[in-house]
Amino acid sequence: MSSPETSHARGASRLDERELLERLRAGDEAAFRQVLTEFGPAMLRVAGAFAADSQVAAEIVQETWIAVLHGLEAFEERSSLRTWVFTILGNCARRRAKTEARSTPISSLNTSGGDEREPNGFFDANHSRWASCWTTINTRWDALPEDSLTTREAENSIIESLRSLPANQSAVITLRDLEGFSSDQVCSLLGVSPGNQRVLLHRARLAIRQALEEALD
Amino acid sequence: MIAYKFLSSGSTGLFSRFAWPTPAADAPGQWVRVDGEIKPCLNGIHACTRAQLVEWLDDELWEIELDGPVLEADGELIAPAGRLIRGIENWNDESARAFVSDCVESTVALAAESLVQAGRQVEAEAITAFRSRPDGELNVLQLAGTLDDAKASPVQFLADVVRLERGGRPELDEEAPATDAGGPTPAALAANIGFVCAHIAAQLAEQESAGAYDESFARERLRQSTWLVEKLQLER
Amino acid sequence: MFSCRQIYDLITEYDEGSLDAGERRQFESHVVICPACRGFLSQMRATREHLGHGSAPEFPPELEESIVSAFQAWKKQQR
Repeated sequence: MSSPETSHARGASRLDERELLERLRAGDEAAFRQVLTEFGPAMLRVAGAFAADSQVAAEIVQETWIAVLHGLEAFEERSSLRTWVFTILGNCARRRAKTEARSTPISSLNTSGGDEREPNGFFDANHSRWASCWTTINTRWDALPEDSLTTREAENSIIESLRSLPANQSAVITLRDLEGFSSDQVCSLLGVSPGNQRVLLHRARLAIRQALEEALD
Repeated sequence: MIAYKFLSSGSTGLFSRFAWPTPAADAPGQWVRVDGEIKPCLNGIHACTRAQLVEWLDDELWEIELDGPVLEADGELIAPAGRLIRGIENWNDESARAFVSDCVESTVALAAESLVQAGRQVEAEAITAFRSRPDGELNVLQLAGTLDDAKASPVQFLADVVRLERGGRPELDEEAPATDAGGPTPAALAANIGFVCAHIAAQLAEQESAGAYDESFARERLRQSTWLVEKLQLER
Repeated sequence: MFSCRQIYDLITEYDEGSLDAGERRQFESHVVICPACRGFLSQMRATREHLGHGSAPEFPPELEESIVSAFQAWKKQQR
């Protein structure tokens, strides 16, 4: 998953962006539809990480675009258009999350499913021979047939486990692993420290892996 | 400087997953260079000496030429550039299995000795015969099951080795999948058993005399590495 | 040398590059000799790669038109 922020792409996309921005500011509807098509699906996915309800997610996306339009004139182009739009999305989403049932303060570390993960996966720290070693065989997934991870069962288990993550873990893994934002970008989008971001990402990745493992068994 | 490098199947780095350019019939592989400051484990081309081979076992063994100042740190060589010179064909599934057999034999001898010294004849006999008797392995597994876990017994260690050798886990009855179904490759098993046997030798020594772990571990690793160098007929 | 449990706990820090050289060394030398951890590493990689290749969900046409309407309203206000 490559982000538009790679150095070669940056040069090309900045030129296109400059032109796109001008057309947007001039009220060019075709340009707006283009940007909407390009960013929309990813925005919906990220919003869905914050809001359990697809209606709420849609509202977050809508509010974001309205804020983007109102902020177009003042946008200083210090970051890419994509980063700026997603920063606004992050702000809208967090604001909405505070008022919705699924809210979890983004900066607080949710401890559910953290240290309790894999309680039977390791020998006890007191074991006389294999303290803290894996009790289970972990098969290598690089040897699996290509389509093992794309079966309906595997796909469903990923969707399900993403949905059941706490909002802050879901937001981080969606931005990092599904959308390809960098660690720095995600910290600033969500207003979390690098350390917190790593912990959230760690727990989320472990949860998805575990769900996949159960599905593949 | 010529050194050695292990790669995973497909000539890729285990951690970097970088696909190394391999030598053609008449030419070494292309040079691979890294930019920036060379830092052990963080940045640089990693390789090892003959003595360090046993710590890095993997599917493919290559002779590598290193360029630039070569740092030696903590059991590894690091340099700004390297190119693969030739594959060491003698390192293959068969020699990996032979390595495992040799390690296990060595562990059996140590374990039997320690049991004899402790006056535990029945266990010593079970261990000594475990390869040659038809139900030898089963015997060891059953015997291990009867022993108390509190203090690690040589029989329990050997039962662990029996399971690990099959690609399984200690105390797990489940059979391991085959290599092409995600189970460990023969080289990965060799890496594991080599370590485990050194660990067992060291644990047994530690039980006899506190503080003996490190030296015993190193001694067994040295024995393994001598075996390997001779078996592979490595010159450099 | 690290235990399997430590590999499990530290894998994300390892991938993010936030372990120091000594910790990286311990991490890597454990994984080399541990098939269970080799397997675990490959699973985590495969999971991440798979997540990265998925495509984003469908964008509902009603949502698209609703947002375009908002654009048209904004445009009118600009004049």
